[in-house]
Amino acid sequence: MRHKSAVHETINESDAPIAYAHCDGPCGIYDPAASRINAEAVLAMTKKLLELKKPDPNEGDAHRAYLNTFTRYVAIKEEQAQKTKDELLILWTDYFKPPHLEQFPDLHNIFWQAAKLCSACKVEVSLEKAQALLETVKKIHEIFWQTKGKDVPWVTAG
Amino acid sequence: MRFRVSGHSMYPLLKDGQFVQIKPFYHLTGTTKPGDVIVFQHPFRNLECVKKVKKINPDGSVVVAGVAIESEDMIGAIPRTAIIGIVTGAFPSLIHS
Repeated sequence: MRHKSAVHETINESDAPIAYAHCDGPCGIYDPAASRINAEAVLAMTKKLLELKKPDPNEGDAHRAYLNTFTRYVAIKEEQAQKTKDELLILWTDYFKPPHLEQFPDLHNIFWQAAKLCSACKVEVSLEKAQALLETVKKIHEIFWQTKGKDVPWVTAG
Repeated sequence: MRFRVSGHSMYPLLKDGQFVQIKPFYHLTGTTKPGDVIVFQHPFRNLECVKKVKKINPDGSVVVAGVAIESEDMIGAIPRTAIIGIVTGAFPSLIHS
């Protein structure tokens, strides 16, 4: 009878086919870049709203243009903040798993804070909240890529 | 037959990098039940998966789910013919501890 050496056993194991135990979604593609782009848009719209000059209400055309632009900025801010929240929730509920929570015990709190900031950015026109949202998304970016074992720099489009 | 687990959906029952030993499943005579951990052919992707049986449908197909996430998988019902085997044991890897 042949003895199985540790080396022999190792070779056998390395040849074992893979059985995938990935998340419930079939694609397996996750990237916090989506939430970063949306959060940047929230910040950009917030800045534009704060910079927008209100014309004299008696200047009909200018006032209509102002109202139209203001409304569009608010609508985009609202939409992008919701998209940010949606993208974050996908990462939180689908990508991150209990082993990640062991590695990053503050993970739930960070996501909760990020989701609350998405809501706050919709309710308010707050530069402080919009910047805080982007900073929190940056934290998630750093954690995410640490779990992947990759050094992916934080680069913003704005 | 052995498979190497890849992914975290079966944590803490199975860890990423562990090996599982399976008992081959013969679809004409084999039986499985909720709670079994099975290796099966993915219904529309060319790969094998390891998941826990959540329920058996009246037609004999099985619904599977991860352990870390309790929700049912989006991959749909797994036909009996796609079941490769039932996991009988798991052991740490010699090369991926």
